[in-house]
Amino acid sequence: MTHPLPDPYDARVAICELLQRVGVADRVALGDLYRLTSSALFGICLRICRERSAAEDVLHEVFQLIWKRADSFVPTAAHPMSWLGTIARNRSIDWVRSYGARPTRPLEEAGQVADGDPDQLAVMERSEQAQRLYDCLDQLEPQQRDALRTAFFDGLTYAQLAEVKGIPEPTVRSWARRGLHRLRGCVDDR
Amino acid sequence: MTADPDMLAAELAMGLLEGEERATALRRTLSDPAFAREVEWWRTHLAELLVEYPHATPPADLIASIGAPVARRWFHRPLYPVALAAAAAAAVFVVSRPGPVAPPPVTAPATVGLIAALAAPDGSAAPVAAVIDRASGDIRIAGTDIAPAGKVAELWVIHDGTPRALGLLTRNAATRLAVPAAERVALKPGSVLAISIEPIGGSPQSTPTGPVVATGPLVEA
Repeated sequence: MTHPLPDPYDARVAICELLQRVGVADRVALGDLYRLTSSALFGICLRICRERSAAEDVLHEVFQLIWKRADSFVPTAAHPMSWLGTIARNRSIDWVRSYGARPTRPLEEAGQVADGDPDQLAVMERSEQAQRLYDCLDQLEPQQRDALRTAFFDGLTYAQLAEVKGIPEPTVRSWARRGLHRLRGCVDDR
Repeated sequence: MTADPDMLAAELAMGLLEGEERATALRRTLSDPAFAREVEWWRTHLAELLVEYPHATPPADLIASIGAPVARRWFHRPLYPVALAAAAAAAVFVVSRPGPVAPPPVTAPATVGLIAALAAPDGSAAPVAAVIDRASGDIRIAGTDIAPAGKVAELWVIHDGTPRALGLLTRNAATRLAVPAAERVALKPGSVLAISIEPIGGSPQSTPTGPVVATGPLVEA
């Protein structure tokens, strides 16, 4: 996800302002918010749903939810895209749990999350909280980190993760739980 | 080899769970505030990773219908107990917003309804049946005397790990609850209905304050 506006601070302020206007039923603001954020949110929907038409349905549902819930959005230290992106990810996971695309199916169009070095600009713009999470992820065993990242970005269940990795489910569960446990302790300690 | 640590809250926030495991975790967000906070901790932190998703271009006109007058029925949403704290602020919005100008859409698809049987975890009480008319969004729930004297039974839906109040149940008589459109999206297969025991007037906060005495997943009728 690159930033929708050239300056990340401006983007953040703009999205917060638009959410406040959407919260008082401003449809023009909803259109602006869509133009500013939909490609980032659609990327999430497409990656998890794996089908363009399903991802479009889910994105529509996401904006319907934003329209209804924007008045409950409280600007916090977290980036507003975290709030929006979490809605998109959760709705997409709901969709696949209900109508299930299989994980073995090839991705239609969704881009792959890079496994290599992250974009240096993105690294520079990380918040302190984000940097702590990434530092802690780096400390995990490679197999733990890989299992958690795959499950997170593709929205996979344990069974699907086991299938994708070709590893018995109990082993995958064990890796994930130990990785999550270590991550929890690390993020809190720092 | 030692046992794996219990990471249920993280597993729920990650989306790793399905079926009964997921339903169990969702129920626990209702009955265990510390667990619910832990799920929220994970959601907040994991959200930092969302920037890694590559962008994709959606259709430009996808949201054209959102916010059109027919979609505005939800402005009529009644004041539920959870909304009371925000009632003053909400009232300002309600009066300042344009009123609904059209009746609810009559073109609702002929969807089947959803049902749930809300059972006590220990089987100590008879299950309570709930039926949701998906077109109207109304919930009908059978009469129950599940709440002791001086208390009320409150109905919740747990979706995305978050409980949302749906309304109070009438003692020993069937209750019909109109569900605001904003909450209706949570009424889908896999979501969990739950009844908690609350002080008269319902839970004073946005989550149950009393014990959760019955739960059941929504399934297609």
